[in-house]
Amino acid sequence: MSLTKYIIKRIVYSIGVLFGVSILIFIISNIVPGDPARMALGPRAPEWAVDSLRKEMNLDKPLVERYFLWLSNLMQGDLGESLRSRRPITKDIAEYLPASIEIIALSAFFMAVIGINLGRLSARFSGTWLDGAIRILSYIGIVTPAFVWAIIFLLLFTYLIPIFPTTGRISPGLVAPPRITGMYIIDGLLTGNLRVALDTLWHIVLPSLALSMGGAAQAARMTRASMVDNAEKDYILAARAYGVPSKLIYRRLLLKPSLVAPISIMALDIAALLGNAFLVELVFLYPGISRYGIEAMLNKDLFAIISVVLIIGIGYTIANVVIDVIIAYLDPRVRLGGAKSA
Amino acid sequence: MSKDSTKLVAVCFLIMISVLCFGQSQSIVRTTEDWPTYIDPAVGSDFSDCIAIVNLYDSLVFPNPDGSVRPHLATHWECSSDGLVWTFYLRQGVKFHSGNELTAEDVVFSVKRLLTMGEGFAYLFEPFIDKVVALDKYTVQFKMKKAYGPFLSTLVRLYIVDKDTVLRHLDSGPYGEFGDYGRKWLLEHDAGSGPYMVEEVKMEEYVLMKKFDDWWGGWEPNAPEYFKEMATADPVTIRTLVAKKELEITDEIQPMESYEAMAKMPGVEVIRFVPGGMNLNVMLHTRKPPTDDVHFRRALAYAVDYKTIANIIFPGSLVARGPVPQTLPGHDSSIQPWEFNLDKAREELKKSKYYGQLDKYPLTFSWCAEVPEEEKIALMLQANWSKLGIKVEVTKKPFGSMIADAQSIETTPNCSLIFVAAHYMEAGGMLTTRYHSKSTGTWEQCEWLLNPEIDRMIEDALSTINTEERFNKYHAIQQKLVELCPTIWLIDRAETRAYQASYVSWFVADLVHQGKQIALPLGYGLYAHDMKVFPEKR
Repeated sequence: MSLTKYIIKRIVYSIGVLFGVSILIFIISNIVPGDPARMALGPRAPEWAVDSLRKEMNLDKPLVERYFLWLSNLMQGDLGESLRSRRPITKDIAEYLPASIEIIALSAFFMAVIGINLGRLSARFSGTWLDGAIRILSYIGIVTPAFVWAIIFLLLFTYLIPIFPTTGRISPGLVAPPRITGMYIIDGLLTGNLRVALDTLWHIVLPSLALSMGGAAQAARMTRASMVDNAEKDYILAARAYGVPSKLIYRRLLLKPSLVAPISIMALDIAALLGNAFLVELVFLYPGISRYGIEAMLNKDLFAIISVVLIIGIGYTIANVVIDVIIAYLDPRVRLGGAKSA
Repeated sequence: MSKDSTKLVAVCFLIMISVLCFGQSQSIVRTTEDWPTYIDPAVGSDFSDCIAIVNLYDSLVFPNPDGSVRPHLATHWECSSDGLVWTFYLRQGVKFHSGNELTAEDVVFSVKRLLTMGEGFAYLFEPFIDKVVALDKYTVQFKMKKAYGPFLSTLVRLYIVDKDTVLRHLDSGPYGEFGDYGRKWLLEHDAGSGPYMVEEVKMEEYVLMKKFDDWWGGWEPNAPEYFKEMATADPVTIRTLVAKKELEITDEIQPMESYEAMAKMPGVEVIRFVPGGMNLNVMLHTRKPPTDDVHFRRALAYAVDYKTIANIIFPGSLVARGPVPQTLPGHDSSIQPWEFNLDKAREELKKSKYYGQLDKYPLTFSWCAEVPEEEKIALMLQANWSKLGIKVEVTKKPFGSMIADAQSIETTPNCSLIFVAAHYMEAGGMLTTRYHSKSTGTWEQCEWLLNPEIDRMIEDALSTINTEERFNKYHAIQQKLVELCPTIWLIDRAETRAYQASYVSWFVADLVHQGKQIALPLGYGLYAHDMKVFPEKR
């Protein structure tokens, strides 16, 4: 099977998965106890107002009909109105998703830089005290939740050594750049507003770092394990026999083939951040999609819950497709095996 | 990453920090509350909403710290002898933030908008206001469906919007020619005449308000130029912000340890005061065994260590004396608090029809997950009541689930531990929302009292225009409720807040220092116009 065919097949499968996810989450959101219309309008709103909202949300219709109505609206780009923000959900998502993408992108950068470099160092000095120290650090990184890192960084770098801002996405007094992508760094750069771009970057360093710690630790462990494994392979032994310097072997010959597994895991970790960043966003008062999603769930904000879960699902699906494609590119046996079984 | 690129990143970082680290010496007061904050006065009614709304909009009358009201947009008023017609005379020359003049037409429009939309504080007026008309440019008349004694007290919740501004921002919606009545636009903008106007609303982040220089009431020197309501309640974030002097007044829902830590910070003071009208209740389901037995309920009430709750769990609070908080006008001060007396509890239990078969009737007890201190009370009651042989199944529930449980008589637990706040400063409001049959099915009445006599007494009191007579009727209702014991009234809650005493002058703190009573409706304690800030002392 050619790579193009393989990609098309994966995309078609993914659409099927997303369709299944949409049905599942629609059913779950609709059957959990509590009346969304009553919760939105408050306990004292008169019954006629609650009834009117129920009708507006189609809550008076059977579940199956509601699903198809929602699906038909979705096809037209209408995700409904959030009961909590009282705005179209598309507007909420357009505001919060780019903010999350910014911290996730920086987290990915930190994960890759910290994780791969620590793993490389650990493998290079395998069995030494440095290897031991990095491995202990990696364990700590994996078992410590991101929100704990967030609190540690907050206290360390905003209070004890106050070099970073405590909360928010941009400093008071600065005006957000004209919207192009919704990501302040990119929009700031595109509109020549360097100050806003730097200010945004300054604000997202700590939340991104906190979010990246778990993934970076995981990547460090996997990079080390792969490199130590590959170090025993024939081609490395041959290189050593030819007198290739050890530094060069580790950097040029050993690192790249050892990155497939860590990159696969990192891609999934990064996709997971869309949904897992809630507490970090809360600590830094950062307006991201994860916090929006959790608040929607706590307030039974029906259409917002479904939309956020769907976005997270899309994030995961894209990450999976990208990983599959990378692996298929790096290892042709994967797509050939797929062709045989098809 | 190569050494060169590492150096490059480090240098960029240092430049970035040096460029961006600038001092903040703004004249601003910042506070925190939970999000959402609905700033539309026909939508918002929660604490967070009220803080913003009272600063952005004006009402006909304004609350005094003792619970009474004073003229505000209305300079004076008259009421017909039967209590069915109220006439208000408006202050002339009041400007909205748009520059338009506030007239009687705006009052009429605001009332109609509120009642048509049916949200926010509409419930306070909908059962009573028949129609409202503008008699001339500065005179507005309310015709009532029935006499309504506390009408003036409720008017602090009727905020006047700029009709022209709202009409200029209509979107599609369910209200005929008025579309959405400006609801979408008013989510992020204001149409008020209040001392502050919206500068910026960032959803899930903050509402930033700027001083309205042309406010009709004038300004004292050092009034804050900006007032900011930020959307966070995370204890670590709040402590860090206070320590860095980036937060002037905290919210009231921080853990006690946080307040203690903040009290030790230089320049920070923690104040405690009992605002008018918030009490903590164990609501007892009067239609479900075994709490349907009055003797059983009294036995439970005698087995509560009230002083520990008031002094240790919620320090500064008052042990409750009946259903109406003590600082709320109309409270019956002759009511004595329940005492902690296990012998009396046992006596009452013996009179109960469930005595001797207590193991067959375990109590279901829910407490609100959003208020961690409630767990201590739940566990303490579980321990105390077990001494009487009563089994208690304690469940921690998100408030949303408690609301859902309260919607039916079957799903409401035997005991629900819930804070309730008065929405206007008079006992009648509390008694109506807590014990009138109309409020069953809501979280504010998990008792399912359904008592026609209480309903009649409340309606009779509310329709009494003479204040003294009305208050006497409130007293009778309170005594009757104490006799029925549908609730264990634990404490009248003290509100605790930390604030930057070194550079902020806050009228609520001044009243506390003077030992005065504070009976302000939700939100009015953070009326920024009456604060002062001295950035140079920061």
